[in-house]
Amino acid sequence: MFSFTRRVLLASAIACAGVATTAGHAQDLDALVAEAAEGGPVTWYESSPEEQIDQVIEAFNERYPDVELNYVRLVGGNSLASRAVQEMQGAGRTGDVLTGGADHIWQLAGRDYLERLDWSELGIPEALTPNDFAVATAASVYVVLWNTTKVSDEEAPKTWEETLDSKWAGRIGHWVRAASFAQLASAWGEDEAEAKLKEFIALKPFLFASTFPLAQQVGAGEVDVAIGFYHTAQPPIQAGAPLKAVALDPTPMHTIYTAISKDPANLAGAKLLVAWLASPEGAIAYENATSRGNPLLEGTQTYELLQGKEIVEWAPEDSEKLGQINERFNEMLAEVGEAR
Amino acid sequence: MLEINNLRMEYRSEHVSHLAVDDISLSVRPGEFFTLLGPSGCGKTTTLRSVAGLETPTGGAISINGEPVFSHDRALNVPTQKRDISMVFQSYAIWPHMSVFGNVAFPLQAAGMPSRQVRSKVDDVLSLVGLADYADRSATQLSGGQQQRVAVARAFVKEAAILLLDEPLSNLDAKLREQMRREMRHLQKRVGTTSIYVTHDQDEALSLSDRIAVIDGGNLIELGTPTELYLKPKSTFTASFIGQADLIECQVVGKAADGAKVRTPFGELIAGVHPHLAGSATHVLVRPECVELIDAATHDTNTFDGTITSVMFSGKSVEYHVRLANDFEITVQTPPIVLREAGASVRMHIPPERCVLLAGERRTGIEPRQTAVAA
Amino acid sequence: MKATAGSGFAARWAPTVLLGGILFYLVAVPLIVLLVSSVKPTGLPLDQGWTLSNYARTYSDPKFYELVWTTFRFAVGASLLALSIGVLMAWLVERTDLPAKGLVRVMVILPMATPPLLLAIGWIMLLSPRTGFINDVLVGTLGLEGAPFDIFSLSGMIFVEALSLVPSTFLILSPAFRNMDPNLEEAAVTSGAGFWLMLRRIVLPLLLPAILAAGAFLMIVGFVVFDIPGIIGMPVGIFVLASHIVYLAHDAAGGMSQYGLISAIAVFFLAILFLLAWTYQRATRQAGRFVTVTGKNFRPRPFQLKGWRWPAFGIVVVYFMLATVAPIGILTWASLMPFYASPSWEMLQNVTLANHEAFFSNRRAVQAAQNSVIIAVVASTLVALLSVLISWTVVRSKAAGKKFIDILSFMPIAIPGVMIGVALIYVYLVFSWTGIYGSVWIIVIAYLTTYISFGSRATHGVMTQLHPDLEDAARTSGAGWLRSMWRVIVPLTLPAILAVWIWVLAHCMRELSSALLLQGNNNRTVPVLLYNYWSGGQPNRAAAVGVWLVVAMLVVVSLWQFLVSRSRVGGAKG
Repeated sequence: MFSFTRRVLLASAIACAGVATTAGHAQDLDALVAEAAEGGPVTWYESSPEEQIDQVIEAFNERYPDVELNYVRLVGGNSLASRAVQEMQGAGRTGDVLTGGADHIWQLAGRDYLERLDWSELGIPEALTPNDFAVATAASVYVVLWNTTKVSDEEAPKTWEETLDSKWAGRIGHWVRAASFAQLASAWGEDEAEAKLKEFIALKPFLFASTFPLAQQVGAGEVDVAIGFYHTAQPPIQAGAPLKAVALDPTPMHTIYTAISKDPANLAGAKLLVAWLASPEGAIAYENATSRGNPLLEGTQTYELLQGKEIVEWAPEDSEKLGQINERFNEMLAEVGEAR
Repeated sequence: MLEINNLRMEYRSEHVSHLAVDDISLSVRPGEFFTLLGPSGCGKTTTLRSVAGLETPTGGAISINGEPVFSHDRALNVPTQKRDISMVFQSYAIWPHMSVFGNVAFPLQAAGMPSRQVRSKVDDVLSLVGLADYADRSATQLSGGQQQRVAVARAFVKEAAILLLDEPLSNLDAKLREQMRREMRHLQKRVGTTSIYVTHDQDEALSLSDRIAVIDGGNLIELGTPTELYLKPKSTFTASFIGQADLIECQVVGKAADGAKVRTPFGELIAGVHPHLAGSATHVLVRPECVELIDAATHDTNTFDGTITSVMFSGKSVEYHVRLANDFEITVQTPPIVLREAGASVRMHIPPERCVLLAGERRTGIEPRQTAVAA
Repeated sequence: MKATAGSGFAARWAPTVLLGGILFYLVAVPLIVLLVSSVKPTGLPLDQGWTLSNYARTYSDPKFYELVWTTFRFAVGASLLALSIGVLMAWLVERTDLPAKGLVRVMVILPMATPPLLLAIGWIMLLSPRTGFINDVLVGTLGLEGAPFDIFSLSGMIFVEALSLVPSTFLILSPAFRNMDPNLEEAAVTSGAGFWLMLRRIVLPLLLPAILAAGAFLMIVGFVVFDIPGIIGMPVGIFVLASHIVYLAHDAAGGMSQYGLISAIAVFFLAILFLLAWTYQRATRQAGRFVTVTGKNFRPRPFQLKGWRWPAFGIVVVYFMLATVAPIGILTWASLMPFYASPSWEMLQNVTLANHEAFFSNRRAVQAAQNSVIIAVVASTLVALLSVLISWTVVRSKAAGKKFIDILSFMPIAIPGVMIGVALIYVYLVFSWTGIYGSVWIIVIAYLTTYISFGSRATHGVMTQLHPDLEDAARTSGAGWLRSMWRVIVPLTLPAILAVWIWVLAHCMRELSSALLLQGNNNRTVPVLLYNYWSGGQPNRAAAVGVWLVVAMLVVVSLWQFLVSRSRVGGAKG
């Protein structure tokens, strides 16, 4: 039932259903809380900065004061997955809860390093659980950013056509990875996405190793507009930078999944954390801290942002295909240097 | 050839200033082998390096071949490489990354000489110093003496007006040093370059030089030929610094036909050198090797009796300490022809023409006392 | 007389076995993990199966050779520029009567404190063609058509990388310059050579071993380094091998870091390293001839710069402006801004101390500072000690297999930081009872491995110049090996050892990649905090941390200079 490939249109019903189910299982969670409090610290591997996760932990502990949460930051999903594999191989145990992209979580599942659970027992809505090892807890959503002192709101692109307009030549920025176009291929088809990418490359975009500095540079006026992540634009916007962001239609995105490692130190605590992250309360706390919200849960800003937009993403099962497209598109984008 | 006028060199650091050269003036004649002699730290090396342009003096003037190369007042300072000099360093300063040939050829290449000419010129100089077969050897594979020759060759090849030598023999062992000394003298005479030689070794200075400038405390003490400085020094410093000397405090009491009559602690003697000093004379210099031990009284004057207190045999000579009247001891050196033993009575004769009157500082006290200074 | 170090077999093998053991543990273990990783399908050494596909994929790809070519140009450019500046600085400081040398030394070395990440950001803020401050000012005042400088170019990358490499170059070279017999230069001048001829024919060839050692070091760094070429080159699509490695580690498709491909590339780095080491060996085959510090007590006479004294000082100041004042100045500005913005009157009203407050009120800041200091002090001390031992063994001793020790100590520089991290994770997961895994000590070990190559290169130079007589004199005076080491070798090489110590300290204070990978719950360092801010979209807070890092380093470097100058004065008087 769960496939973004088929251009899932957001239905608020799913979210409402989610909230309802959570309430229904509150009783089961109480038993977990007692067990989790006994089980020692829960270790959580994620890639967000500690200052952000601190806020999440604070909110979590407000709800569950007796469950201790340890956070270890692993920069980038690939290093998270690699570290988890190394630890499983070397010590037979890794972080209790792992949060990362589809390819990372599926990679670990393929090695049978993840617990397989009936998520509904934890009150997690079905819409968030594509299978028995992963829960969709947030998403990184692509948006168009523009510097409001250099580009007026009227002039700013609001569609893909406007974004690819030749007037942005030498004024537009992008992440060094072409992942946005690779995700679009799930909606447009590979050929169409490639043609659009070529149009984009003709604009000679500035490429950035990470999307955070990309957003910063739009704020600073180094590039006038950019295709970047919604959450990376939030810190400069909150700091008062002349920066705005809007979602295009269709909106490419990457779902972020959370999983529980096999035989964790504190299984009950791990379950509790995952259930909480999948609840509106947890999702909103997580979004407030990291700016990455769960588009499937009503009440998050991300949900609001994507209202009426078609969101596109390859299904996790297709991640090999996505990987191939990614590699090919990345190489095309890398040619920008030679085009200069 | 070389004129140095009122040279002064003061090193200043934040708090201390050090006067390396106070006031030195001298002039060197063409073709002369001229030595700056003095104890370490006397300013001789600083003077030499000032001539080379490696130091910038704080006063005075220097000219080479009639052309001024430094003048403090005119703010003139010709850079080293433009001065008509070449130099041999104490450490030889052989460039370890070059061959013997490379080292010697360098000054010619620096002057822009065509390479064919360089080749033949270097070969000439190398055979002159006896290193013809070593041209392609790495400079560091040579012995100390050979390195020294490379350094000399490198200096000679430039054919500069003045050759500066900064204690070039001090790093060699005694035998080699003597051999190199002879070679150097020979070479210098053959080539005829004006040479300024810095050393603290008086033997070296005496045997090599045409003239010697004795320097102490940054000042020129005395200038003269080796024989003048050795046999007829004018200052107590020179007398004691060059050679072995008994400096005997004395008073001139009258005149004699061949000099001045002086009173010493062990009796009266006649001093034949510098009798004109008369009343201002404070010391009489007697060199141990100028004292004869005699058996009979063959002379009327300057003959004394005494007892040998100690004997030191050094092969080419024997050194005796002889106690004279008033328990005054004097050193006597003789060739090992007749050997005497401690305790023996001897008679000695000090030739008046080897007794040098000197004007120095008289010590307080009525009785003149001995100041024996070993070189 | 007991049979001590002088006798035969035991003496020949003892240093090799001892040092070989330590180096094997530090270097060979990561190296073996790297090599095994390169022939594993997933790149994880404990995974099943063997393959050559990593090599096939890496070396059959024409893109790889394009990357090599770009990287080569970058490395050569940065090395040459850093060498030219470094040689000039070392010569000015060690051989001339340049004024205010203590200050100059601080000015030359201080840029080391700036994390390269921030240096790159600083220069982008100064020289980017659209918003660069210097460009803006020049366009405004000179009325130019377009920006005169474009940092986003190969020359821009080379320029910034060279600036960051100058302190290392200076530290490798300055002992060699300091210890050269000044008579060798004077002999050239009295031979009629002008300044440039003397420089070209005498000074540079004499210092060739030191310069080549520095050059080899710089070339390898140029090949391996990521921060500067990554941040400056990437926006305009100029990629180097290191940016490809980062891509493979973080962004490659498939969900796992491509350690196998990284290792296959690292093997290429190792090949370059061996090539450079071999070239170095050949070029300095007669290094024994270059022994220039004899026991002789010479007072190096400074070269008289005369009228050039202040202009030369001016050159140093210009370098200091470029390498520290300008980038740190703009970073200070950034640290006072709520978001990224070029300096302007309008933005002045937005000045805030919030970023600095955030750093100081961060509950992890104290712990991170503690960790950083412990790691930096312990690692730099160990590197310095080990370097002296390695250099003594390689240069002085008659130990068997010392070539092996030499190469082993040089190799870590070619092993990418991530692979050292990967290896250490395995080692200490297996030895988890040591408690090293996840603690500061695993980072200490990583840094020790990483920096031993620089340390031993730097001490090699000075050890080569130390005349064996000095040590022999100590031994004949009845001092044992340890005593002669401690009383003679260590004091004589002390300036070099201190230089190594400072260098490693500064780099530990700013080093990031392995610290990030080895991160546990309580071994965070200050640069990790900095990176957290930076990667969390708060570059202004990162800038604030960077500014304080530079301030801390300024204190350390000044203290070091104070100690050095005191020891010199004492030495001169004694």
